[in-house]
Amino acid sequence: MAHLSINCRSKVLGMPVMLDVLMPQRKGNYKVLYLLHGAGGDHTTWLYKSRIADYMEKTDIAVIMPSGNNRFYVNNEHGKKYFTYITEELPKMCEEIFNISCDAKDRFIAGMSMGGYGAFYAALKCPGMYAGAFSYSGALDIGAMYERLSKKDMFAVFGTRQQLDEGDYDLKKLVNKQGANDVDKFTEFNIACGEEDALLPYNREFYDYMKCAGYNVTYEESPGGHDSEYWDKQVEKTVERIKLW
Amino acid sequence: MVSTINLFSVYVKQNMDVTVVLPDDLGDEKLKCVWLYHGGSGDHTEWLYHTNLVDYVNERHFAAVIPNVHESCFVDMHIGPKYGTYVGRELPNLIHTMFRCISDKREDNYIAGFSNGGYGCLNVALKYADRYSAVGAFSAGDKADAIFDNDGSPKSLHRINLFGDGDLHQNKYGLTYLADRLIEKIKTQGAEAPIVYHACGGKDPWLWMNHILRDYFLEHREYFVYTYDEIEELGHEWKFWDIELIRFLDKVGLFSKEVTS
Repeated sequence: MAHLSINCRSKVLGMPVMLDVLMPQRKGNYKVLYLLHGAGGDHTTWLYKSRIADYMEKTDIAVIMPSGNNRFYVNNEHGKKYFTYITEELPKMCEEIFNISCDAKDRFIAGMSMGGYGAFYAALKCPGMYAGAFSYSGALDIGAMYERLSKKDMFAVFGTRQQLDEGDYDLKKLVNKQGANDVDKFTEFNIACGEEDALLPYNREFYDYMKCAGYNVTYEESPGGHDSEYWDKQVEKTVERIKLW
Repeated sequence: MVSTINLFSVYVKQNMDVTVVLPDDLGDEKLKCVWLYHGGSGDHTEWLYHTNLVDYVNERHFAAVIPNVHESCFVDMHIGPKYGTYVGRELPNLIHTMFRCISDKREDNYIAGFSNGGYGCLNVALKYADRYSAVGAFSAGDKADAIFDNDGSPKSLHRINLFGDGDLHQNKYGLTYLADRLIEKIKTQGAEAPIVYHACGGKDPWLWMNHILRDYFLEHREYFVYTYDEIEELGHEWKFWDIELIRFLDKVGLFSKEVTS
């Protein structure tokens, strides 16, 4: 297995970025898992806090770990265009450079906490782009997060509460009101949350919401908290599932 | 884009470090690839620290791959791991499989190196002439011509670990031996020789070894397209290798965009 620590320019963000990639040393055309970190983390978090390198080692799955800079993976009201970076520039660049599959059926996105929100935001805003989206302890009720977290930080990302409500940041807004069509159902959404996690009610609620809208969505509650031990177990399961996809 | 890569080598039997530099704008075609070999006591970082390589990559539009072969002199060691097979064959296979934007064609792959890496790039290019179409050897002498005192000193022991204690003119560690073998293949099997660009500073302590090597290639001009460059005022130094890198890039047609546009 090869580990690439990459420094490159993002035109979308207008700055150099760091990227960590885990690449199998096999025949190429790998499935790809975009793995998003949580608040306070960066491109190193998944490597330091989980055994992801071990899990993907003998598979045909490449893992791409960008930095989200605490910006919730959305195009910020008072900041840079992270959504465009994550869903347009980054995959395009990786598919041009690396011997990875360019097929949506081989493309997956996952994350914990802020990264879980980011993964679902990307998958819901880009129907048909990811075969699977995985949220671990996701911050799936962004309105609730807006109230819980620092006002200054939330303002930079989402603007005022009114701007958050009027925009499409709320995942419920991105869920197809006419009911999930074939393209919406292309993506399998997976929600996982620890039983001791404070975000549990939001996860349950959002699962119900997606299920009622007819999406392809699974839900799992298991013992665990909002911590790397839980996320490590989840990403291991995700890799096992992607292997068989 | 600069990638620091850590990957596993089956031939060396451990994780190895490699730097890959790509231009910020990829363009539509696969990139030509320049393999850059470090000197003794060097690694996969020194070309980055001591030259403007990243700027050259962006100005001239190519991929640079810089392996780290520790103190192996780029050979399958006499006592030690097979660094030569790693760097000449295994690593290109891994890099070409990993990067779809880098060309794996012989005509698009070149090796350059200085000092031990100058010897190393000639060694690899002569052994794997089917994979590389040009070699840029800077401050490069044939190890076969180095004075070897088999006196039990650390230096002599290291030499034995690398090459054994024999006369390298007679075995695969000698550049003229490898060149002679390639010439045989050219005559009998239609093999192709790499273009050889060889350079040395006038103040280099090993200038005499470079001259011996130069004379061999001049004698065998029939088989090798060979150029020799000397810069009088410079020695065994980065200022020299930076200049020669640029001359080599020009030689293989990787011109700076200001020239071509």
